[in-house]
Amino acid sequence: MDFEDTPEEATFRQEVRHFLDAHALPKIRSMDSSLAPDVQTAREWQRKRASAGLGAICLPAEWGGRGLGPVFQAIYDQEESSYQVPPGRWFMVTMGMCLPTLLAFANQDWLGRLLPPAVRGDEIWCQLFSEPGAGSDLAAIRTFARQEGDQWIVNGQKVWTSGAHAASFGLLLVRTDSSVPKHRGLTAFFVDMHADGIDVRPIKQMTGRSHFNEVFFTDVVVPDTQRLGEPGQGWKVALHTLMNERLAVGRASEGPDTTDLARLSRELRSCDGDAPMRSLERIAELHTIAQGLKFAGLRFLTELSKGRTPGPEASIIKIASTQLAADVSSVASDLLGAAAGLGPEALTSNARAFQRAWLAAPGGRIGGGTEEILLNVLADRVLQLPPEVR
Amino acid sequence: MNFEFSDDSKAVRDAVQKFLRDGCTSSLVRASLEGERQEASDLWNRIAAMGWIGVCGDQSFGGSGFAPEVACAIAEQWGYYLTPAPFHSSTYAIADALRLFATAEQQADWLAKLMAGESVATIAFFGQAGELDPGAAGCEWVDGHLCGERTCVPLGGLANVALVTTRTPDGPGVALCDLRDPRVRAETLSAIDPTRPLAHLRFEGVPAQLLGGHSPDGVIEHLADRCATHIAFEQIGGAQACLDMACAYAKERQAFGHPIGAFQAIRHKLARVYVAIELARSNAYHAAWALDQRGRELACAAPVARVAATQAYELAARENIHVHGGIGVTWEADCHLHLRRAAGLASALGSAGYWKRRIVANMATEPSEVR
Repeated sequence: MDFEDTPEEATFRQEVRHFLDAHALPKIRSMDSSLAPDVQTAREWQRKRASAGLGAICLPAEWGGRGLGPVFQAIYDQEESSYQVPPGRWFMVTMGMCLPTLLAFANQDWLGRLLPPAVRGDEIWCQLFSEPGAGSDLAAIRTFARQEGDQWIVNGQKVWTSGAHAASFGLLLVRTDSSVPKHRGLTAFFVDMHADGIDVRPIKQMTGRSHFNEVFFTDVVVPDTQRLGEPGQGWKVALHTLMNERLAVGRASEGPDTTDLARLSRELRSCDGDAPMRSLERIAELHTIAQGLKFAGLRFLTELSKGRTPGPEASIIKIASTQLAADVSSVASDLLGAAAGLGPEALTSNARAFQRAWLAAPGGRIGGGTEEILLNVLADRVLQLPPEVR
Repeated sequence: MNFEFSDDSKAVRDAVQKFLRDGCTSSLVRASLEGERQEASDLWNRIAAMGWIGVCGDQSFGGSGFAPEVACAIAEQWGYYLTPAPFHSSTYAIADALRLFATAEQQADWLAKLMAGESVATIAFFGQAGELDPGAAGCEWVDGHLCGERTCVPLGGLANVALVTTRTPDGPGVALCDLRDPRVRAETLSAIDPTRPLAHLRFEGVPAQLLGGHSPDGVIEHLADRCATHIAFEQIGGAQACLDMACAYAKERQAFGHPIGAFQAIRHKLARVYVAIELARSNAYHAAWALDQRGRELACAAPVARVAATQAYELAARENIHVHGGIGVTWEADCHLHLRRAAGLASALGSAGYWKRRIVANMATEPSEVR
């Protein structure tokens, strides 16, 4: 049992560290994240990465990647998490979901047009799957595409589309056949987000920010050449897109962690000594979960390093980390006492980060794989319990 | 990145698993629960004959010289099968302590017998307060003699040698004490988990040497950390057994026209147990790795492994009973064997507060990130 890289991994890690040392500042506290969270800064960072050949490590070299296995992406993510860089969410969907799907299912003639600008950070992609009536039950989507000759006409609505307001292209899942069981009547396409009939409206979240959107489709024309896979194969394409999330084991969570929490506790210590024992014990308990997550991630990284793909077991990361984020922010609020009731303008920057986490935490347990669905996955595929009564 | 058990560990683990599956049955465990020790004693002798006590020990003392992680892989199996006394995973921590701290003469006296299973060793940590006390109150070692008391000593009555935490003229230390000496009075205590009997020991000026002949700083804490690591694997093994038992039952038991494992409440309950076990297992792996490191790694890893494994075992044991419904609450079902063992292992190293305080203290001075 060891944490040693293979020689190839070690060389790559050194290269990554050199790049990061040259182009970014190290984090002082783990919750320091971006210099500025705007899309322009994010694009510039992606461009720098791409110039160093680190923009899309698992993509084939001909498209600006390095053609390396997922463990190398994980190594990059691990190293980058110690530096102040723009939030990963701007390009996470593009790199982690859309480009791999294009490679697998798009008409190959498109790759030269689509992949290099995305890798360079010039074009951002979004994922148009969820709808108001279909989130966890994705197969129930109703946005419809009817075929007219060599094009498709799309009508409907998508929701929770991260980054749609900045995206050039989107991965779209639609219904093309209502006469078959719901999973079988779906087809995937990619769309130009500036096409006629596409209307992007930001959604304001409880945090006050607008990271995601509603996207309305009114008679949007999509050429058949933009279809991904065969008609009726959309579910298979969607699963492929969502599966890639499992490979993202190197990525650190955003927001304050238990080390930040312990530091907050020390900073807020009352004149006559310690934070209440209750809080310290709670911090210790949360830290054991944080450490468990870190080492579980390293076990999954081991799988990648040995050429194996982590299975549904990897769901434990999302389940536990999103709950942990909620609990960390909760303990922080308690430590702040009455000050936890203040608004962001009245708080120190330290305390503000925790308050933001308090408001962001519910979304974490819902989006990107709702907790109950992931528990179902564990029950089905890991514990092999009988199929659920529905 | 190779953060998993080595091939050696897996091979030995598999052999142990096979052996225990056939040899450490529920009825053997229950016999031990009711105070019958003969079968368990025979099992111990067979375990020792297989070389599994001395698996990580020096070959010059009859051990097999494997890396410390191998003992952890084995300990998990002991926990899974509820292996009764005189086996306990702290035997590995004791062998390590002798290897790391004892004088050559002490090693010669004790290590070979320990590896061969001829000597059964235990650790006596607790004074009247029942807490892990780095100050070792309650015992005094002066001029080669030990006076005082230790309580809740595992394997009470079965062990013939103990490492005893004690005050010395140079600060807290650990004494090696032959328990067969008449100046040691042992009184068996009633235990919630009779497969892990406990005793109260009284030392009335019994001759004893200090481990290593002196009192190195932090030796008590280090010993506790090694115990905590091996015990964490026992706890994870036990928790896994509970989860497996619960899943098996949930597939069989029918209610409202379905196996109960088809109902979401049960599915989610058991999935959450799985998450807790896997996080605890990941922490335990880190502690297993740290057993072999020279710096503060174990001091940081062991408390985390302990807290996580203790919570996971209690959760798994309770939810296993719950999934079994009424049957789970009976003596006849095996569920309570794990609840008892969970209680025994949870209390084996004092209360959680000691370990949680150390976690928080370590967070102020965490060593640089493990990559």
